[in-house]
Amino acid sequence: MPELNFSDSDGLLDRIATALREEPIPDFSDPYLSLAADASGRNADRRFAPRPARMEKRMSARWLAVGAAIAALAVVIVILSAYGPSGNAAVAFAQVQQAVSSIKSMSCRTISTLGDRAPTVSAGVSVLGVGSRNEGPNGWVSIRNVKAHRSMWIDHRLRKAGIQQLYVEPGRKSADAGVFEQIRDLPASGAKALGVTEFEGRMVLKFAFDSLGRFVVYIDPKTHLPLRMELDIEKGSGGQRYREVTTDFVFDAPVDESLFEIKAPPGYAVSRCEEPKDRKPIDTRSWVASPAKGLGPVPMGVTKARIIALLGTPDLIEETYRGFELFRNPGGPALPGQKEIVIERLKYPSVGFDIDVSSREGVTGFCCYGRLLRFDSARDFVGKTDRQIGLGASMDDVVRAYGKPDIKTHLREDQLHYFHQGWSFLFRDGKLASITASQPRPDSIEFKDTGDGGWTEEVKPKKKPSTAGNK
Amino acid sequence: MATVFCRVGTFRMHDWQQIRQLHGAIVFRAVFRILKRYDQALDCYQEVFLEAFEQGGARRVENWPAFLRWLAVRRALDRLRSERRRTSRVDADEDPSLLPGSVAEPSAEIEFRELVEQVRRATARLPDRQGEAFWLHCVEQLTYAEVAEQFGTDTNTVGILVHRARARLRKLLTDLNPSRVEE
Repeated sequence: MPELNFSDSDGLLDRIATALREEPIPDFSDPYLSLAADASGRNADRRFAPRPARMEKRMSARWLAVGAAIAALAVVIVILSAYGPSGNAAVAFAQVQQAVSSIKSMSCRTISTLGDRAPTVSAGVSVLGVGSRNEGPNGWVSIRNVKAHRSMWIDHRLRKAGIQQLYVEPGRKSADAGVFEQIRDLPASGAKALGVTEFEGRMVLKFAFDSLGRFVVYIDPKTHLPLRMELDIEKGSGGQRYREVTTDFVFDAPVDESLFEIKAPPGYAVSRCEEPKDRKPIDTRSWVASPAKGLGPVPMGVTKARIIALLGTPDLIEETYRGFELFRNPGGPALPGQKEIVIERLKYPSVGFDIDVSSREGVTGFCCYGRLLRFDSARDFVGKTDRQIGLGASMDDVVRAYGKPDIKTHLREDQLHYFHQGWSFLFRDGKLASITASQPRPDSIEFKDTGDGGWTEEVKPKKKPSTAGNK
Repeated sequence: MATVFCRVGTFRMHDWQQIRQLHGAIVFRAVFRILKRYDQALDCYQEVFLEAFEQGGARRVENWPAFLRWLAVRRALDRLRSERRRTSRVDADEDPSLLPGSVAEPSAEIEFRELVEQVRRATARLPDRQGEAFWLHCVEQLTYAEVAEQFGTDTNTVGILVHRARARLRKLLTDLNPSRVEE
């Protein structure tokens, strides 16, 4: 390797361009051409199966917004303990709890900013023991109904809605439960008093608290209730900075409970993710998960029909990919032998897992999760991996079981990726929150950490045979 | 060019199977060079052909490799630009044994590969046309005329774009010169 001559930056740039052009490229087989050539059977080479085009996930600003409300009121409890009228933390804490507990309903307005995007405005209302509703930009609505154990999102622009069953367990965290239900479960520690400040012409108490992100809360010293909340998450959705300001709090105004009705507007396409009442119970306690063998009784490679025969109807089937037909004669019939690839996700959140199945290859992967990741929209998967790793395990447990990962990433959560073994493990609050299995990557591919949370893939250089000793 | 098409009204039909067979590898190589992730490259590959299908119906394509390379580079750079901005965050108590180990390579080799990676990422941060022009001409080795045809402009403009892109990247290399830091 010649020395790097920075004085000739033009020449160096040319060398770099040549290196970029000459870097080894992994083997590639156009999946559509393989399909067209193999109309009657499956492609035996499963190593480079088509992966579904990633569907954009909608940023869960609602989750963050309500989480913000929950945590901020926890801030009230925590930090006002230092500012009670008598200076006694316990007395102040009790006053705050009393103030919050006495609230029957709350509404507020939130302005959110993600990265460099334009701010969005949403309005929310919640009623103790009944539910909550948030209305955001572009005709987006999310509703939670405690009594019905259901949540619903509505997209008025696309005329679509989705209904999700909730698995509410007393004392367990909820994604967007009313602040009232959650206040007692929040830890009362870690708040920092920022003193007294002027806000809208009056003196208020200002505090900082870390939960989900960095909170700054303005408290009315008379009512002990929030006047304004600011949230700053350095790495939010997509790794971008997320900021939120919540204002215009109104407490205990009359609320029409029909706002929380789980009922899609007429004519909307509705998807429902609910545990089928007539499905036999699925017990995952004895299940073993393995990228090689599959998930419990479901082997890798079996068809969708077989999965359903083994487990019963899923809570929801989502189509995640459908191969587009470039060869179709526009306006005309499909050409002979022309087929589509369809990849679907069979979702069983009521028992804590999803299974991906391809129309060509059958089961290609799965994901096991639970409440740590999905709050009350899922139950915990209680099986384990082939090396006895279950949800709630620590990162050390996983490394002891599977060795050094190919890549470790950190956005809001830590993830360990074992690409060559077919595993990815996601942690939240230091505990294993989801286990994902997929087809192992070939040993010829080398993964390199780019140091910024991402990685690159390169074909490993072939070792030249040693000539040592040959004279 | 072994492409058969016929005109149907104002929509041109091409033999897409043949196009993919002939040029699919070019497209995949072009996107993988930029994205360096197999799964992203595969997604981008599909997007390129979809865009080619949409555009190819409305225009006459004389040079399929150049056209597809242009779409591939443009799409892949767009993806790299919109890739999540991840900041490196190493916890104080992070176990170094979890970090990818480094093979015992000569330091010049390591340094050069880091520069290659920096230039790859920096290209995505250039103004759109500059980045595309640089990559198409200097990495994919399209001529100025071929790039100009895809951009719908002239060779002088392409030359200026490449010149400006190189100037910015040379500045990057100068800034990365370790000797400069030690001065």
